[in-house]
Amino acid sequence: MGQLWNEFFIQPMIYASLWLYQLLGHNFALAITVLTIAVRLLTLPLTLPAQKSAKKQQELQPKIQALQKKYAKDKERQSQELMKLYKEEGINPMGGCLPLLIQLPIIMAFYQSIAKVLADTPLALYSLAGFVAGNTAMTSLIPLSSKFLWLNLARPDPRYVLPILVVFTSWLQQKIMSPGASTDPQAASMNQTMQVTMPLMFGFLTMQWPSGLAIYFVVTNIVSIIIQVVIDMQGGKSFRDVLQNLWPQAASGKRAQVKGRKKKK
Amino acid sequence: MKVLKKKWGFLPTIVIAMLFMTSCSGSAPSASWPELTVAGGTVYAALTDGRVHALDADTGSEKWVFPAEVSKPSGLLGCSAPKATEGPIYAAPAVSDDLVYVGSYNSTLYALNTLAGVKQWEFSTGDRIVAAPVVVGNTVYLASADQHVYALDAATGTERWRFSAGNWVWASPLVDQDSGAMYVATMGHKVYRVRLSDGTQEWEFTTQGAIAAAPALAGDLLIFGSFDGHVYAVDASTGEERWTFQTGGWVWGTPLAVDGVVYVGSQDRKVYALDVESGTKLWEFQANGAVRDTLAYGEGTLYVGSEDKMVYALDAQTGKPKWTFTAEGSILSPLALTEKALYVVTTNGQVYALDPVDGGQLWHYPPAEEKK
Repeated sequence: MGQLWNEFFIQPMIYASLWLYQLLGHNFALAITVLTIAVRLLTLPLTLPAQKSAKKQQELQPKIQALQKKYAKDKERQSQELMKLYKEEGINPMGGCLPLLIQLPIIMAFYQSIAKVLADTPLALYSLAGFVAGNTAMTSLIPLSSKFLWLNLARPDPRYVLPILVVFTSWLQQKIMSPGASTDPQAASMNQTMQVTMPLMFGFLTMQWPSGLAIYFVVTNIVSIIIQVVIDMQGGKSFRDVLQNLWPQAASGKRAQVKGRKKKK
Repeated sequence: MKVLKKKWGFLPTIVIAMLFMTSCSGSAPSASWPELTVAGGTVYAALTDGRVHALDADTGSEKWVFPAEVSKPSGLLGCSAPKATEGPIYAAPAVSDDLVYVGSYNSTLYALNTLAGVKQWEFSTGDRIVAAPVVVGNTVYLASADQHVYALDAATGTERWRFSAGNWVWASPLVDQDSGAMYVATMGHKVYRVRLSDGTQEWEFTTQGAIAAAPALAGDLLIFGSFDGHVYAVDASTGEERWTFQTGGWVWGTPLAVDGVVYVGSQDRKVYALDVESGTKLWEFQANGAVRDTLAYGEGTLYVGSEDKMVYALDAQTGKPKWTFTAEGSILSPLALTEKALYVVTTNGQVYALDPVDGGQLWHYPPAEEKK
């Protein structure tokens, strides 16, 4: 199983990252960025249905909660009505899961391949030999030049810029992908906890991981944010609406100010 | 107040998660394999705990350990593994007179006394020290991943000169006092010949792969292996290529040149015996695992350690096995041979003393009751 995983997932990713590294003037930070964007675009057919399905389910929350409330004592009927609603709205409640599960190995392999290629210790390099030893062109690129700006891509960012970027982009991504406050206070509280805890945890882990992996996290978060904004705008929302979902208080405050000014006039 | 409670009710979750993560992140995995040196009746083994263990070469009993102290368990919950206070040490120590020199992953070279492992002086470089230092006369030659090779006064650690190699140096330099030259192999695919007196470069030779092990001298030939899978023989005085031999994997070990034959291991799981003058293959031996820098020669026998956990004793003339020994871990580190014993260290930090004649185990460290 491990051998199949290495052969069909890790090795192609390692070759792709090394090929890009060669193509992009031996700049591995750039290679990670380009490959991350490429992987995200390639997995877009799997990501899009999931994101759209999740979005639709969120939009249906008021109706779902109304049905749950209405049929609180009759679970069977509640489930029937919910299924009926999903059918009417053209949503498969499990539709979001499968594509995400399919793309998971690709993302995992990509992550693992970056960690392997950035080998800067004897044992790590010895492990990499198993993947590239048969290919002279790839072997000639080893070890990679891991310098980028102030970073050594194989080691954590000493200035903590990347962990901060990971926290911010992770938070923004979660925020943008779950707009609209839930009417259920418990769900809202849990949502809020997740939106803060997860980015902080990612940020903390990034402080210990090679900065090359942190670059991958930042780029993948930014791509996710862009995709979500595009989906939202295709769904009829303006860019301002998207921003309003991010900072509802700020947006409503601004609107109130504008209204106030209009009244004065 | 109620609103505040609701809004920040998740804070305890974050704090607990952070506490757990800062405390229980575990120890960093080993960055390299253990290595050992035998000198003056003592085995100096840099083991997986990142410390140097001085063992009696005849019995395996422990004389001292450096650093003697490890830091207390860290993390707020106190469940991180204790760490060596002087940084992990994996490279083979070098011994000269009454000092033993050990290079650490914290970029520092320590000179300890052989008697008790007490630090006499230290010298800091700009990056990890992967290669074993080399002591010739009153000079210590030290390679560092900071891309330099340093020449230091062996007694005081004072820097005499440094040579900039332009890339990581993971291989010990080869010092040839007769020609007044030092040969430096780098991960930047190059081998340099450097003048011993002042560190001036005399020539360089480029291969298609990184070079992670020291070259060997055989008469007027300098022989070394590269990650491009080739064994190279170049004229030691001019750097001109004389012959190459291709293996099927990375060559990550110092070739062994004895009586007109070059023995070299490869990650293609083979050991090759080559004619030193022409590079023609005389025989090859197939192990079940990669063969790194794990060859030793004595009394017509070639000893080979392998990733497959085996030690093979081969007839140096024919490559036929005489005996084998199975260890508890993979063998990626150089073997050390004395008249009395063959010393082997495995990737999981087990040290064995074997009878060179029949492979019988003489002792083992750590003793069974100390094993975790």
